[in-house]
Amino acid sequence: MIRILWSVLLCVAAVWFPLAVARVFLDTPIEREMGTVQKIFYFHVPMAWCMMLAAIVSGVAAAVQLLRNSRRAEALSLAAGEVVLVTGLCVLLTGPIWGHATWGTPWTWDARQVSTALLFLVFCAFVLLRTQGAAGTERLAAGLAAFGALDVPVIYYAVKVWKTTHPTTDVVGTLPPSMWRTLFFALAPIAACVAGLVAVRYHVERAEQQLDDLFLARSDPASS
Amino acid sequence: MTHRIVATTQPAPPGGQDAYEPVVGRDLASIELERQIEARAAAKTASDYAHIVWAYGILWTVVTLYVLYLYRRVVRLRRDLASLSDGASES
Repeated sequence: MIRILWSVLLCVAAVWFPLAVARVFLDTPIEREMGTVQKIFYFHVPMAWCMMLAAIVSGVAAAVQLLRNSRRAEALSLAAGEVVLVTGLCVLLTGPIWGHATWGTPWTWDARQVSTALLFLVFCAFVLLRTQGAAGTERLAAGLAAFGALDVPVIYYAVKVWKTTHPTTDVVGTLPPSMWRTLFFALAPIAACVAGLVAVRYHVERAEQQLDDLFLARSDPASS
Repeated sequence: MTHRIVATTQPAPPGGQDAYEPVVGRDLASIELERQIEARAAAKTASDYAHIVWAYGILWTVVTLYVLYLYRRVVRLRRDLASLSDGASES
């Protein structure tokens, strides 16, 4: 079932993504103030939304793992956590490129930039602890993921609470229809790709967990 | 074989006055200003394209590297599975 799900999601993303790129560059007007460089917006913003969603999924799954000792939740938490790193890296690299063109500087120590970097670093620590840590560090890693998810509301409200250089969350509502329609058109393949990658990673992690159990049962038949 | 050149230009009007209208509003300063604005716009567009190429290139590279990492994990998983099934068939 999961295999069919990720196959469909990744196929949808592969077909839709070139259409989204064509729409962004050929059918969407150039923004008056920022010029052509504003086209980065159509992939930077969906990536940021997907990063925050993946962080929430990872944090909630980690909390379920802590409460119920669920191995499925553990696999989902790790899968979504790794995708937070991928999307977070994309956001933290495309944002400064866009900032360099429009603000004249790539990094302004803005509240949203700093809170996003913090989320990325927390999930770096989570994935490193989860993949390189000694046996028994799973619960510590899960706590870290749950803590990381708490940073998502901070990222969202950073531009509302503090005075920042970064555009506010209301900017999407002020766009002309031709631009926000393109934004959501570009969101679909990115969301499908991100969901597909989470599903693949979850599938691989579950298979590795089952394989580990089989190796353990084989080496120590009395424990099974 | 010889060629004959035929002049098709109209002769100048009598009295030494030509019939051309003088160019109005195209002084050298205006032309230079226009060129400067065009050059600035061209530089901005070129800079924007460079930034876009970097941003999209990074997006594709990061996602491709992660897909390659997943592929390597799947290959390792299959190898482990094969070794486990080989061990099971031997015993």
